[in-house]
Amino acid sequence: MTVEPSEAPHLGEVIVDARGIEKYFGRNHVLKGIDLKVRRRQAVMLIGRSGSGKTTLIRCLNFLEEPTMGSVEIDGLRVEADPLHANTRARREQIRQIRLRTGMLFQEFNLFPHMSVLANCIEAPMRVRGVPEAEAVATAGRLLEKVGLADKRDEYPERLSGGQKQRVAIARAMCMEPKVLMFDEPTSALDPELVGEVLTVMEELAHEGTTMIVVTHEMHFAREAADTVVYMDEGRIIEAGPPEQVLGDPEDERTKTFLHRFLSSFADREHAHDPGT
Amino acid sequence: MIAADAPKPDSILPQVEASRARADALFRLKSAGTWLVVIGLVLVGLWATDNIDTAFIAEWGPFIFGGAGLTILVSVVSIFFATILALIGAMGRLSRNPYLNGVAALYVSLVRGTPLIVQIYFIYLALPQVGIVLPAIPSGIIALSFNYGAYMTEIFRAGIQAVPQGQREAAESLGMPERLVMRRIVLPQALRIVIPAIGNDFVAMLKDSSLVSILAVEELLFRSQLVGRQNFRSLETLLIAAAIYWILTITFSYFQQRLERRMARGDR
Amino acid sequence: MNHLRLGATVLASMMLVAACTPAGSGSASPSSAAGSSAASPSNATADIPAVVCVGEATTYLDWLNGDLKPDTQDAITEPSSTTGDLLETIKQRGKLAIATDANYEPQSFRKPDGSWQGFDIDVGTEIAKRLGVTAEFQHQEWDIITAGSWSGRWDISVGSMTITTGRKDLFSFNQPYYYTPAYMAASTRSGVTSVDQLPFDLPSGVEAVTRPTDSNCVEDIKANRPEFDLLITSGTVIDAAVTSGQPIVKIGEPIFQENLAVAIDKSGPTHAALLFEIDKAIGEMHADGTLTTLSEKWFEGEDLTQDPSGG
Repeated sequence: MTVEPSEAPHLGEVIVDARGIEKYFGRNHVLKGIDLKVRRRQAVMLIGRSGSGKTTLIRCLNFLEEPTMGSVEIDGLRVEADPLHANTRARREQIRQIRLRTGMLFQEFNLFPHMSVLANCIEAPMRVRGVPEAEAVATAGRLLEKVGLADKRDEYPERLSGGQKQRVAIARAMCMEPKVLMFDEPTSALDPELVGEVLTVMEELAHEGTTMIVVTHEMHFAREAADTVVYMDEGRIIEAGPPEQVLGDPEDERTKTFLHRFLSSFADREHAHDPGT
Repeated sequence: MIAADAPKPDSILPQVEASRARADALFRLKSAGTWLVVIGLVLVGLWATDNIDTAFIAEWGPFIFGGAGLTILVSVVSIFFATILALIGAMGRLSRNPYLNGVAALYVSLVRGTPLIVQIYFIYLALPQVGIVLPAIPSGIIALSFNYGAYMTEIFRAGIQAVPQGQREAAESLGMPERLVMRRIVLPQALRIVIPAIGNDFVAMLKDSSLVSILAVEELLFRSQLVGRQNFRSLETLLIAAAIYWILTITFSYFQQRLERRMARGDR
Repeated sequence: MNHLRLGATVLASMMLVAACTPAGSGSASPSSAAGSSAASPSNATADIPAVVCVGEATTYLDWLNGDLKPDTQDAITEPSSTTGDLLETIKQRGKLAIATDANYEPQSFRKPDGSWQGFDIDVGTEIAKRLGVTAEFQHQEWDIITAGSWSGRWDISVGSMTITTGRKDLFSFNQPYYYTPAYMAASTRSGVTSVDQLPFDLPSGVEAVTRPTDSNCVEDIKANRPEFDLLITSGTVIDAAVTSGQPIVKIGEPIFQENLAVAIDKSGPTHAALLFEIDKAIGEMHADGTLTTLSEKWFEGEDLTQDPSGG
């Protein structure tokens, strides 16, 4: 099914347009024909059981995984899945162009441990986009301020907490001015007491109109920050819509079962790190 | 001192700690003492049975010791070039280009499959037959670099592979082209992983550099053999050479271990 | 417990010391076999291995193998032109690179300060001086020097090289600068003092073993290794070893005479002019007594520079 957000006047034109995404790992069919459209300023949350394909889906969107079939268009650049010729020079360059239009956040943060926080943030802008150092530093400073870590710019990642690392990673991704931010379970690797600070930053970004696609298990956060919640199961999109509809009054039986089981088993946890509201 | 009758459990802790420290110190003392006693006995035994000519050692020791400079020089230069070769070799081994990969794999296999002494002779004696004439010291350095480069290629390859996949993914997700990812993200981290191994290899190189003595390079072993043969005193001269090698390797191992510990602390 | 361990270590190290001490060394009495031979000196045949030690790539090895063909140099004439000759290169660089094996006292050996000394060294230095350049010595193993194909790493060998028919394929030789007899030596432990005591024919009845250089043969005997009791080398080397107290004695008459000369690699650049100039220098050194003086200085007053064949 195609995900179209409910009529919402604040949303802009389509930024991400994935069509017919199929993905096999060997013989294992993980994504079974996914269509996904994301508009400017839209915050889309992907939920579902583990193994439902949500992480694979966002990794296919910036070609960290090569889709078996289908195509991805981001900000006007369309790239067809082509697993047979995935490694030609021209194609690698196309994929790089897609990645320049997207920012990716990982469960494990993946900050560069041999670089200071500031160096992490200005590395790609300077060396990939050719931004002059002064400008890159200024941008990085502004974004670090935004995630609340301006005072940590000269620290090395090893001296930061998990929550701080993920906030730096967010600033680093935004320094490249991507059209869309993609988060792959950004709080799963964090100690419970550190989840809140990351979700707060993300929620703020969502409210400011940052286009984002988030794979998450944090239902409360999804309800607060999402424009659209997408429920996936067994490689398919089962249900999509505004959070109050998908999370509050799901149509599909599978969504209901998932939410019921999920909410009951995670109820305590959800409460524990309610982002500061 | 508040309740003298009932000792608190933590009041005994400093005593336990002190006794353990004493035991540790005593153990180390005894262990070091054993070294001294054994070495001393061997030396005294050799001296007492009139097998060691101390005047000869005093006379020739400095000349032999003078070879240590060349031993260190050859080792340092060779480990430098070996590191560069290993870096290139590792990139080749990890390359998706079948030709580069093939060349690198052939290099590693060829060098690891032949004795170092054959490689040394080959460069010094065989290459001139095809018109490439190299002096002895460069020949030795090239052979050692070439040889260690191959072994270190595998270490570097493992080091590069030990950099978490997530680092590459993060860099690629920022739009960094492959080469930049390698140069700026993967290699600096791989280098930190392999630096202790380079130190290890350097200590091994100090010893293997003795093989270039066959090219009449005046390093430690060459000088000790020269003096030993010409004066019929190989016992003394080989003892001197062994002692100097030992001191050199112990010294560098010490620094290498400190470096290793520092690198380990720096990680995460 | 700890004391026990320490005691065991001490015991082990004492055993190690004992093992390191050769049986017949120092003040200890010689081994029984040597003792009995020493008691009845001449004519009794010695019970020793039929093995003779020689340096690698030496004429002594050739002799043992029956391949030795002592020879004299070919006629040397002055070339019409010196253009492109090795002599020009040497004069331009101002240095004559001389290879020699520094394991042959008193011909070529080193001082504790690393400097070179010996008869060959003095001869090489004098030759360079007469060519108007300075001599630069480098050590090379004898088997590498005699293998030829020097690849230009050095210019000439002033290393007491014997002229042989085989070597003339590889090298251009000058007139000999001196002549040494090759001698056999025996270990003192064997009690052998004359060739008559040897229970085998020479050279057909013996097996040759080689060491990297002649002095290694002496060292093996000194270390009381059992493989051999005989060696063949230059009489001068034997004399020097005996003088320095090595446990060997010179036995018998000279085995053969060696014509010792400067050699130049035939596979290298044109060197007719160099050969001629060096030959001229050596002729002059013979004539003006320089060589005789040097020989008497290094060979205990002996003049070895006169041709024993009277030629």
